[in-house]
Amino acid sequence: MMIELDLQSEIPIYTQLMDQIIEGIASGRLEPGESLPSVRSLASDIGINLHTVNKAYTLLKQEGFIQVHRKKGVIVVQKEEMPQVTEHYLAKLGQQLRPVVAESLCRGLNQEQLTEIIARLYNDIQPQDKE
Amino acid sequence: MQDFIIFMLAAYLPMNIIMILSPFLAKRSIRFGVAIPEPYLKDTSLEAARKNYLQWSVVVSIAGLILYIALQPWLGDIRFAIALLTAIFFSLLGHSFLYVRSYYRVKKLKADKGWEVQTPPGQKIVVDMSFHKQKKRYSNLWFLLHFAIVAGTAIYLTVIYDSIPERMATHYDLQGVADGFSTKSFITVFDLSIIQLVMIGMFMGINWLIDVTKQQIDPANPEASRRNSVHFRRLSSLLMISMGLLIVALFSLLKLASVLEASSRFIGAGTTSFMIVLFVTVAVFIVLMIRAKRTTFAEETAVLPMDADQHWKLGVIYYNKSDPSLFVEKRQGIGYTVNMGSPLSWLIVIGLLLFAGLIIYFSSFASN
Repeated sequence: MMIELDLQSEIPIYTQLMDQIIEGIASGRLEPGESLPSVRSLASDIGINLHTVNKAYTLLKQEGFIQVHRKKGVIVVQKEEMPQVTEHYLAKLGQQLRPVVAESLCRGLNQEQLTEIIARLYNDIQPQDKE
Repeated sequence: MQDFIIFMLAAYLPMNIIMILSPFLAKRSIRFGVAIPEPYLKDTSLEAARKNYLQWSVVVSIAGLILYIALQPWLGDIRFAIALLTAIFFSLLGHSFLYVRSYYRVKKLKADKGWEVQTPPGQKIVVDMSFHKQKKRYSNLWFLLHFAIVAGTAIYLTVIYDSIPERMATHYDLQGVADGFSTKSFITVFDLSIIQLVMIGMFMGINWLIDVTKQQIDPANPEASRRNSVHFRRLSSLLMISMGLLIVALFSLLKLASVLEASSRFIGAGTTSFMIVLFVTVAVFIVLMIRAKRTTFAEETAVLPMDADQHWKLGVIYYNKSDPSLFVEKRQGIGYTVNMGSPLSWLIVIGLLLFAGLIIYFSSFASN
């Protein structure tokens, strides 16, 4: 899977990296059980500090999307181990969406249009080959 | 043909052709070690800088040739060595000077015309997460073939050790006539076996390097770029294996010819044909590799972040403290260079220099 990073963006590189990996898993381009490059190898390929990649991997591991094995290296978790919708997650999601909804309200974007955008993104990201 | 003409054709000429053509052996966006944003690549002043280098480069090469002839290389071995080394040194120095001059000229051009300000180096990076999972080179197991040749030769030498003449030829001129002799000893019989092993180790090391070197993918055209860069790596790997095989075989042939006291005609013809095969192989591969390299980066490519001028001292030395990579592909020419921003690379450079010194010491020791 190809990932694209913008080194000059306001979004920190580790966040971009996490977002891309999660999107990869969501879209099926990264399969359950697939191995990811080691911290050193990925940092070298991107040309950034080891700590940045390490931070992204650590956070992804904490959230439960990847596992770090001593032998197998970094791998995407199996389907049955994938993080589920929890109360904690719902709370976090609400917190993240709140400013987004607020700004839409200010700009006069109505509820229907907003849900339409979300539906389109949902469609864009989810695995295509299942149709 | 005379020796001094053959050496001219085999050493001085290819070296100068490469130096004359060096402005064209770089990534498309690099001119004399300076990164030029795409819209300005066709600027006439850049073409003028290239043309200027080309003209002076030819002048330097011809001047070196005249120097070579002026030193009368036909007057004996020492005279010939001095003439060749002087010509090569003169040409290297001249071309380095021309390169640095062009580097500063293009750098000034870029600053004067404000290209950097108008189109700063790109900040987008594309990375293939499964790049290092694909097969990018041929297995180091291929070198078992090389080891088999070395082992076979060494075993044969051990078996016939007693019948090897006490005084054996260890140096030949280009016609294959022996002109240097050594007394038989463990070292003089097995010296080439040791050198063969060192060379195999070197080729295996480079073959490993081909695998681990960081990926560089063109964000404008990621899929084709990835494909071509893998193609480039596989060609490099194949070149290392076949070049290694030819050199190892040549050394075994030379040693056997020496201990079996082969005729000078056989040695001369054998060496010459090996050299021709080696030259043709290398030439074919280089042409293929340049093509693969040039197609890795499309015409419309912006300057990659790691190619930004501040990371390349004098346009050729990579110095980037924020990049954890040790080995990177060169921007100019074909091959690898180290990231001097990492302390480990200094150790590697010092280690390589010591190693080269050791080999020179060892070979001068062995030839005495």
